[in-house]
Amino acid sequence: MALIFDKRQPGEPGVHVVLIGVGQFAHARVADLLEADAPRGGFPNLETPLHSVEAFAKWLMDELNVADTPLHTIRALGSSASRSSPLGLLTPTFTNIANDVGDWADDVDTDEDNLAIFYFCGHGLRIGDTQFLLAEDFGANPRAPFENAIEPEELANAMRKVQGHRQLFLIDACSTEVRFSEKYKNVRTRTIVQETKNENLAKSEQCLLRASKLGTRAFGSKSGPSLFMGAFLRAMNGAGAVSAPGQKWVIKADMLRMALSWLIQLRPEGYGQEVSYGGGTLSSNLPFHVLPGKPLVPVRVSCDPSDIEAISALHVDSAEHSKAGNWPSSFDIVRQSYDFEAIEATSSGPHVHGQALEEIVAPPYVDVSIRCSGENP
Amino acid sequence: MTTTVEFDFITGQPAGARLPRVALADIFELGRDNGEERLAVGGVVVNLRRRGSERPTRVEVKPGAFLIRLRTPEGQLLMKRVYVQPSDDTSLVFLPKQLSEKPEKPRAQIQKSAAQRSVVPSILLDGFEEKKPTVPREWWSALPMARTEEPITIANLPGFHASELVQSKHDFVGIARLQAEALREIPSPDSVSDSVTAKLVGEIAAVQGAKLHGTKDAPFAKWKTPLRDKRLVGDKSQEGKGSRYFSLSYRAEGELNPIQVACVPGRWVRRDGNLADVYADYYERSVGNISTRSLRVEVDDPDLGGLLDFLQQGDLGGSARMLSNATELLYRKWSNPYASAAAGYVLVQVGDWPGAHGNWRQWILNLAYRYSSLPDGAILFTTLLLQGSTDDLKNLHYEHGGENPFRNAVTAALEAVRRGPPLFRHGIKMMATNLAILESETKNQAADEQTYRTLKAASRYVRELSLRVDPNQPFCVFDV
Repeated sequence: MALIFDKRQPGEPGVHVVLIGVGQFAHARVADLLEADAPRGGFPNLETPLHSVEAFAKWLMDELNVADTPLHTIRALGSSASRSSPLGLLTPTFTNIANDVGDWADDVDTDEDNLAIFYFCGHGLRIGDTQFLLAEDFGANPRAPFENAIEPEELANAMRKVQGHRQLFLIDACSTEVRFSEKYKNVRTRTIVQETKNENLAKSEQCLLRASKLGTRAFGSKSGPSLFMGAFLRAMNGAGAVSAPGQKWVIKADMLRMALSWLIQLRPEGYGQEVSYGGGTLSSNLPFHVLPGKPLVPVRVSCDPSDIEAISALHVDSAEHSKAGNWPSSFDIVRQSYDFEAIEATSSGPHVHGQALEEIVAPPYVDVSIRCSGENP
Repeated sequence: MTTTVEFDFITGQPAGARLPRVALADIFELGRDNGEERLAVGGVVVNLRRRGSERPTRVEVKPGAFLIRLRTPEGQLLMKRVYVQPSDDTSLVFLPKQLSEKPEKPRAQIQKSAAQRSVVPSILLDGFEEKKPTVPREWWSALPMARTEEPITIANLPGFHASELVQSKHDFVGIARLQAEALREIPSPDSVSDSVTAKLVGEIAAVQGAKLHGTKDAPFAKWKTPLRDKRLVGDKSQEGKGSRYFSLSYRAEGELNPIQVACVPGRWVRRDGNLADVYADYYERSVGNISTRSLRVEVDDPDLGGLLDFLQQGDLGGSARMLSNATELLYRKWSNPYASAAAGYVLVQVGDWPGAHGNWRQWILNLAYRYSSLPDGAILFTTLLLQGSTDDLKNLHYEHGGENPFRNAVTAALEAVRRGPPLFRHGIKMMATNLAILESETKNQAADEQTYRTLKAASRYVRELSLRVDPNQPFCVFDV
């Protein structure tokens, strides 16, 4: 079943979502398509796409809050080599993807106040100026081995003609460049929605975010969502928010992009993974989720020199936050000003090694460095 | 009293990292108890590579507490809180931390090391370059190709002393500057690899070697004029109207082996009227499992640098000032059509924005029509024709009636292809999109079968460009 959530109201605007998580690539491996040109590691099966789709679907159903635009549909496709999803998803072959994306496009086209969300997680590669997102049956047709893939920018450009002008594309896949030998010519993906002349350019509020910038890889976990999706869900608590009139905080694409890169790079494997906008489409600063309260801002606190962290506890606003030697790599706190202190408990009483006072903690993130004197207590 | 906002994007960067050229600053006014923030000024362009005489960025604000967010095109972020005291001058002045100057080595030390080197046993000199005899000065001069009878390609440049102009310390890699003329017709998509020259460069008219400076690991070439021969490059007013310029990266231990071809601008006039340096250097590029040294082109103009960096990242929406800057650059096309083309990409992507000038579309048409060797203008105008609404387009004034190739989108798109690869990589994606749309529109019209076939051929040509282009750079650099 592809439509896992359906509360469509004819004549009413709503949020329409399509989620694709491709975890099996049997044909791509067997066909060994690119031979020496293949990206490092080839096309192994992935567990993270299905986890990512499930986590995102849950968040959308439980948390998404777009003013005056309720969630209307979620279409989801997903696969994994080791398990099936409790959501009962169809496999993400090209045909299934094309059908779902086509139906999703039709739904988005019903009202100009609709919000469209497209999410893809799986293998991606870049040949020249084109990114390919691989469907499960990529490589299945030996006569045209590259056709079962999606070009996200082409889809985004084509989607500009539909009525619903607010559109968010999240591409959670590698963008590793593949040197292309002379063996193949005119390599291109199949078209899902044909680009046409459109009159909606000025109205379009479209944003395409890639999990990794040109030429770099995106990472995931075998037992959970990808780094991008993990960071995305965390950023929805406030890191991607900007202040709006009426004491509201709204997630906007510009702030979100900065927050995502920082959150991803907190993880060792995420170093070098930089979230970027799509190159061929106009990415506007699209607002799409209103926070229920004040934003929770990710903070990384460190001592300068860092070895003080081993002997001092971290105090936030005069209360102990973390014990000596156990400082977290980051944590989320409500947006406001804070005092951060590195305090060592000694036999003669507490010794303050350093302070960072009245630090404003505001989205998208804050790096706090406590300058320590280094004097012995 | 002015309030100085000092910021440092250098600390924490790996050694040798390049400082971005510009950052965007958003200035938020903080409410009571810092509980709410309101955007006071957004998208202030701050030059990070400020030189001695250049004035720092200054922004007038009211007294009070402010939060300043500065972001680079690569996504680095710095936040600062400042309090502006009430006074006669309540402006904020942005001052980047500059790279520290290299200490000047004492002269005596240099002499000492030079003296030592002369007595180093010869075995220690293994791996040092044996000094090459100086080549005749004229071998570095611009060499016209008009009188040669041999076929001229990027792999065969008669009279050009490729192997004599390279050094072993640079792994026999060199850079040649090419002057070329566009083809009269669209390159055939079915021709074999020997016409790569035609597809990427057109007809080569002149060649000149570029001297490599810098270290063994980071060689670079720079110039202000594309060829050092005024008779060949002509008057400044002819930029964008006659010849096109390219950089050929090659290896020539013996024979000339082309590696990459980059589209480069001609004379690049900056806002202050001076010519900017155009740089060609190398960077490490990962492709699949392989890491290769790839050619990179840059222009030393902060007006353009910021624009291109943010265009590359697609991050333009936040900066009305950058759009104003782009509009100004577009309108300055008489002095610099290349910068105008870069600005055109920004404006065509953004479309209508609150500060847009009324007649910017007419300026895009002028850029397309008057700068006949610049494909970028034609690409931009095709996109406008395809994506703009009828109202936007009906007031465009066409010159010279039927001779003008910009009467409709098909002729504009094909004219862009005839002019060859665009200067800016962004144009390739736009070209491909334009041709796909036109192909689909003409596919089912029997009367247009010839047009359909031509468009299909043009699409294949652009696809080939797309497969060869380095996707990490703002200027087009193609693998050969």
